[in-house]
Amino acid sequence: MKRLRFEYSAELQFSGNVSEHCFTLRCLPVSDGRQLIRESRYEIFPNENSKIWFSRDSFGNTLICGRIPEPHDVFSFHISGKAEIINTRDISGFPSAIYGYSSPLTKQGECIRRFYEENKPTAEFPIDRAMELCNSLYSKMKYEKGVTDVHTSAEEALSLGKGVCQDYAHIFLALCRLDGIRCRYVSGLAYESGETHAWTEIGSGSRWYGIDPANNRFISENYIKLCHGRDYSDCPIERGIYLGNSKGVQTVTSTVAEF
Amino acid sequence: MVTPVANSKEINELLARYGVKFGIYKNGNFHEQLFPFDAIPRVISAADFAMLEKGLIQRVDALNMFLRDVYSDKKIISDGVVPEDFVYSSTGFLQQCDGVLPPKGIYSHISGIDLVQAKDGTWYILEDNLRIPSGASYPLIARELCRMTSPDVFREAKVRDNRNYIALLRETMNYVNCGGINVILTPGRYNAAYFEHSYFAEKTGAVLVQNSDLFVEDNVLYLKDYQNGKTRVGTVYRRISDEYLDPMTFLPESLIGIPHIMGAYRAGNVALINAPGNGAADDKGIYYFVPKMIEYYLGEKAILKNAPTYLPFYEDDRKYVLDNLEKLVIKDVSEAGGYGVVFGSDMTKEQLADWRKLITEQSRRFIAQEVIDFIDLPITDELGNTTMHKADLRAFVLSGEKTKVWCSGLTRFSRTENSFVVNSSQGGGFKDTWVLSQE
Amino acid sequence: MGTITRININNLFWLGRYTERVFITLNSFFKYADKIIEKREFYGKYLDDINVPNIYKDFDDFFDRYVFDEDDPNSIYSNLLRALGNGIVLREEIKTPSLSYLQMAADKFKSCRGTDKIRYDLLPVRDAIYAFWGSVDSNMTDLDALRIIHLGKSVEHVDMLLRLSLPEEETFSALNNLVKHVERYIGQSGCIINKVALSQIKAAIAVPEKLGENRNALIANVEALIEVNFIETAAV
Repeated sequence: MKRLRFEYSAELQFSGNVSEHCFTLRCLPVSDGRQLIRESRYEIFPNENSKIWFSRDSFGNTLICGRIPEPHDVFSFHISGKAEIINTRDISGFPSAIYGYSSPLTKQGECIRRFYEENKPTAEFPIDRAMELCNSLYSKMKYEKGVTDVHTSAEEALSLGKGVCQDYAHIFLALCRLDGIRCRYVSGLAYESGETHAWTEIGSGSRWYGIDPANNRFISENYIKLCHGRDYSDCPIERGIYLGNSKGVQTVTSTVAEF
Repeated sequence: MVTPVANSKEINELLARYGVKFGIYKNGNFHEQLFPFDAIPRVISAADFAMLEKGLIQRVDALNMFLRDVYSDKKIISDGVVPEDFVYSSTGFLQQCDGVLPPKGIYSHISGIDLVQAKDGTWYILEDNLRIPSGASYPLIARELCRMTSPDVFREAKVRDNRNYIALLRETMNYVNCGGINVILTPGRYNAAYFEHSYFAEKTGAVLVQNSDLFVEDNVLYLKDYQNGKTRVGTVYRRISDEYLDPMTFLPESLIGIPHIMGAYRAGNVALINAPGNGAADDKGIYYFVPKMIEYYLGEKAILKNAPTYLPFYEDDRKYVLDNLEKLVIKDVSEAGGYGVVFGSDMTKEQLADWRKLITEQSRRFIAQEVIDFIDLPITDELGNTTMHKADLRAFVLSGEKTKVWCSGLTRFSRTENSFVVNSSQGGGFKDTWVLSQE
Repeated sequence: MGTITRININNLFWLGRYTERVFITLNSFFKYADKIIEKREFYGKYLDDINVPNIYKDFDDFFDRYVFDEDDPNSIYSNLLRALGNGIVLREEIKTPSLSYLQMAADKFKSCRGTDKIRYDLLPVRDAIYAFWGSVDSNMTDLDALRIIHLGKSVEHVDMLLRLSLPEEETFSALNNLVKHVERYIGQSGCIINKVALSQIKAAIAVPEKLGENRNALIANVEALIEVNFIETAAV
């Protein structure tokens, strides 16, 4: 078991004032069979005249929702807490059938189908087949920032041959689903990464197993999961809509450390 | 025997006067059009209607049970009645709605069921519309006007009064209301059915609103009023589609939605008419399974027939479709409103070959149906001549405390004599639909 | 009551303004149309008087486009379409019968294009607008909403009188009525009143004999009196 302390901050600086700002945050980690959240706090700014409440989504995530009617040019949120991570690959929760179907960002096109045919796994069990696919993918892709964005689909990223953790995760999910494996996208924090990280969970029997395709390995005790969905579009950490013609620039910091 | 109303000209003038229009986009520009009215009514006998009523209630009840099931336990899938694939890969199934039970457990409050009558008198279901079926306002206002221009006809004919639609609608909104006022949410003036939105608001007393009039706090939906006060909303009869409803849950770029409304709905604090996610049950692919659903949930045989339908997804059906393409009608399951419908009989040799290839490659995307030779109804043209046009019937079924069928409906007829396409967006017209109270 | 939405306040106000604009323009046009029978070139002066730019090639062009052209933003018809457009989004407030009079006015107006007896042919349009006013007054159940329409009507009325340089007494009493209407009812209605403009209008009516001198300043104050434009832009 490992004891981790985590912190995550995001600040959205607008070029001018915005108002009627509504947002949904998926950044409160919850306990599952692998991580035990001992303590967690959140702060949101601006907080005068803002309304904050909780909700859930159909994927099982806890949502922090809010509405800031007054004009403001900065929006920030901060979470921190302590977690105990158990050294296990099993994550509780039944992998439902919907996770076997392709989602908006993981639709398989020509490129993914071809790659799958050329790298068909040979192992018997889903989890081993998934790891085989993960290996093939890792040797094909090159990690590079700035060539893709949050809307890039798995198909687009694979045809580029480059991308970041989100793209690795999407392509991997698309391949696994083609192989009949139920799997989902995970956003979270990882040791010393400094930003958020994306990985996946592979369903097998009545359990999930965490695989990090961008690092070609099972997740270790250094990962703290924030939320999950069929792909990124189901579970962005922050989603907002507001009135005003301003553009926002986001800066993010995160820390995960032992204590 | 009934004397048909024969005042098309007068009634069309009155419809123009009252602004009874629908909007369409042509080359990117918005136009409003009158919906041409033909005064010879479609007449449904009391016996026929009694059968239709029973069949429609049965069908809509089963569809509501199906929706409740696929968004909770999914027994119909685990029992092997509907293949998993047809639920989960349908664009109408919204994972974001999984596990949400709407107020009073009703998903489809207002169902528009399209039927046709074959020449032998048999009624067939063409499709179920469980999302935002529109069109009830047209026959409703037309009846009012027909009674104005042809009072004698209504004295003679034993026609059931259809002007209770507003009461039915209000009753349905009130039944599922979670505390607060009723509102009708419109995407705005440039929506095809804006007339209907504003007309229903006027008649039911619900407040007509656009998204910026509403906001959510603490999972409760409120209407902003002009003094920056707020009034709680208990029912939203929303006339915008699921994907635009809540930018926090569905399309993030939607500017006509209400952020967090899905949270208020999930918490049971507001009723949405109809429930989001209903597309899971009115998908053209799911249509095939409705008679099976009726047997599964109600233990009854379906009273109303589906048009004979084939799913190229199944091998036997695919073979039949490929062999008989020239006599079938092909429908793209992802399209609505008369689009994505092609007739094998209209295709050239090359087109038939292309379609065979497409159907083989994308078998889940299409359904094929036998072309039903449905009855023609007489239409009077400007010169007073009568021509025969294809016509269908959209029946409106309202589910509140009980499921009720409106004793009327929207009869739409095709624009040209030989066309089978009766959608208003494709230039057709409409008639009053009479349900007789006795033979 | 109290469920008038903020967007509707704007629509109600402009419904009142455009309907009144069409009505007054039509009346003044009818007067000139009589003079024009003998003196066609008179139309230039008419346009000057009502402050509409003379963009017309000749009399025939004026007669056609200024009256009937949907694409000429100053035409009587395009103002009528704006009144109708505001009415259409207010069906549930003003009720179907009221809206139908605007619809009839617009349909009739359109059908008269190319006429050689314009005053006769357009009479039903004026009748329909009269009927519209009668209908809103007797059908609307929300008095706050009705008052906002009347406020728009009153603002437009004053504005047009000032522009048309009609007899001072008429302008004076119209201004007085406007001020009364604003002070008595509008504070509660959600319309935002520009207090500076209101006090300047009141100062102007205090010296009725000098009303003519301050005409342009007065027009500006009347235009600024009510702020109901909720222009909302959104971004993701």
